[in-house]
Amino acid sequence: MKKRGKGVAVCIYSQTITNAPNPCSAYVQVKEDGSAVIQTGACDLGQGSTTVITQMASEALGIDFGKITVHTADTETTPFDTGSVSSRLTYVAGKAVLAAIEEVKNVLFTTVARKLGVKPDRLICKDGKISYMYDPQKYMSFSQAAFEAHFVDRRLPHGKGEYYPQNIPVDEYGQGEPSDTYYYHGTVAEVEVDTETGEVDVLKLFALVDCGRAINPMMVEGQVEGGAIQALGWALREDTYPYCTGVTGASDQFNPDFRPISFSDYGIATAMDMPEMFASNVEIIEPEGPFGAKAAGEIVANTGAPAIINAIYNAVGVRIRDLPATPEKILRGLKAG
Amino acid sequence: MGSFEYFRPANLSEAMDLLATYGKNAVVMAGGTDVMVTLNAAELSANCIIGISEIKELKFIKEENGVLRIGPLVTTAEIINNKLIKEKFKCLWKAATMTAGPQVRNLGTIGGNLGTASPAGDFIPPLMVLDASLITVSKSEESVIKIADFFSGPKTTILRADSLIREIRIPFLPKIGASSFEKIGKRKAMSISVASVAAVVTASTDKMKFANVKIALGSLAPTVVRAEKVEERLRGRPIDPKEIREAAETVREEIRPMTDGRATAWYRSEVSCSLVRKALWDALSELEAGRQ
Repeated sequence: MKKRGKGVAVCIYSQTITNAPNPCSAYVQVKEDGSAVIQTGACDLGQGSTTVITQMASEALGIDFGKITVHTADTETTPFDTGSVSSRLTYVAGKAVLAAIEEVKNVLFTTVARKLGVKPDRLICKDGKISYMYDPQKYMSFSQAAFEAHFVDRRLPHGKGEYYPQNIPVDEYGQGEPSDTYYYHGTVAEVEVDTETGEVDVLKLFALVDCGRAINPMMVEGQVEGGAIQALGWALREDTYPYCTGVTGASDQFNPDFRPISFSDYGIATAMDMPEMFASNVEIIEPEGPFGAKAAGEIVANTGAPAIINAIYNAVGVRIRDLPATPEKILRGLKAG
Repeated sequence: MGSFEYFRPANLSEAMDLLATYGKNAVVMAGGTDVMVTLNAAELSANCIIGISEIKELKFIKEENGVLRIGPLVTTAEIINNKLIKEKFKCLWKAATMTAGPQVRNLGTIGGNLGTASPAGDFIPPLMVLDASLITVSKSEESVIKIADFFSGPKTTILRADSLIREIRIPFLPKIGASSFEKIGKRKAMSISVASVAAVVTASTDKMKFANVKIALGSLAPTVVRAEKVEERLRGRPIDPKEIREAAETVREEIRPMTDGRATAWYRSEVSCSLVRKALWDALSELEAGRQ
């Protein structure tokens, strides 16, 4: 017989390193032709920090994505970043880069203000132009402004920025600000359990992250999906210890050889094991975050497994207390009643 | 892996000569989906590998006088794509679809599955219940071996060191007969069987009684075995859930499951009844639909 069940899990996560100073910094140069170069220690491990930094700079400077070059993670030439850890880069690198861009804008706006005869704090960057906010017809092209800053106003549009997360440790009453902001993730899982074999089929996974503003929504969706699938293996199959049967060394059924001997029988989910997936995000804007962003990093792996375990319990009343929830363990649970 | 000599005979006759010379020290390889893994894991050592995948004479699927004749080099993918096998030998077709994944299915062969002779081999239970025979050949002689006699132990066959499987012959099922295959694995693809069952069911003309039942079990004993007690229990009985359930329970007495890296003996014993029932019901629904 097959029985279905649903389960939910949610979690809260801190971001940036919470108990030690962990700055990030960036240099931004706008060249005389209006292109921009960013240097930062922030290292893209494949999570997409360079993409996100470029997007934020493009938005802040109002210039095309393709006009921005980012150099990262070179200890000889790029300014300090603590590391690609604690899901911190979008937030700290974003704030460092935006701070550097503020200095760049000060220089460029001085040039444009002179040229247009307006106050510098009434100018905006958008669509490759620096324009007067009350009359879009009054503008200077970004590249023209860059050129004139260099050779007319004699000020280079360069800037540097840094950001140190707060790290206010908690006191004896548990009060403090160890993390600048918190973000959230939840999963709903629907499973079908075969009561005669203990096999679990995950029918649906619905996963959401609250990452603040999603700077790159497609990357966030990919991240949430990846975390959900990782959780699938973690919840149901992956283990290197011979305890997948649910019996311990004290039992005569324990076999120390009951374990995968290589990755080929480790049991990572295949394309055929994929559930129906819905992976997305909600945006609860973080006022302190760069463009309101928080993070969408490590958190995504957290709630899939407990949601699946809860769904198994909902389906057949078996409470699994150590992962993975293998068919053997579930069958033992069912037989025990 | 060590070093070895490698030969690639262009035809059967060359292969026979090579086997006559190198026989005992040679490993015959077709798609390599088992041989390469065991060589790399140092579970197999070879002084000499004979790669037979180019021998065109060994790749065919044809029907002749009520018998299906399959060459050993037919790949799993080719079995899946064959309409005749899908319609008339469902258990073999189903086993092919549940084996490994597309890449392995494109290379792995039915002859290789027999030669490796793992009790978890997905083609073996279907061939058992279909009463297949193997034609084996060496330089000097040709033999016909019934599949039930072919396996002598886990990963061991009676195939002689100088011989090759040349052909697999499967008689067509009687008119009111159908077959099925089920397996349990760790995941839905790329998963070696934890337990598997193939069943052939033939019924009385009014489809109300079992005329004959054949059940073969994989990964539940050192070799693939027939569940003779279950078969005996069902022969001539009404086709009915209670009969099937009671008969399936007796399968536990016929298996000798072991605990290995994939499952415990306890688990295999527990799920064997469920698997036998599933295979029987699936075969019955094929029967009802007029498929085989």
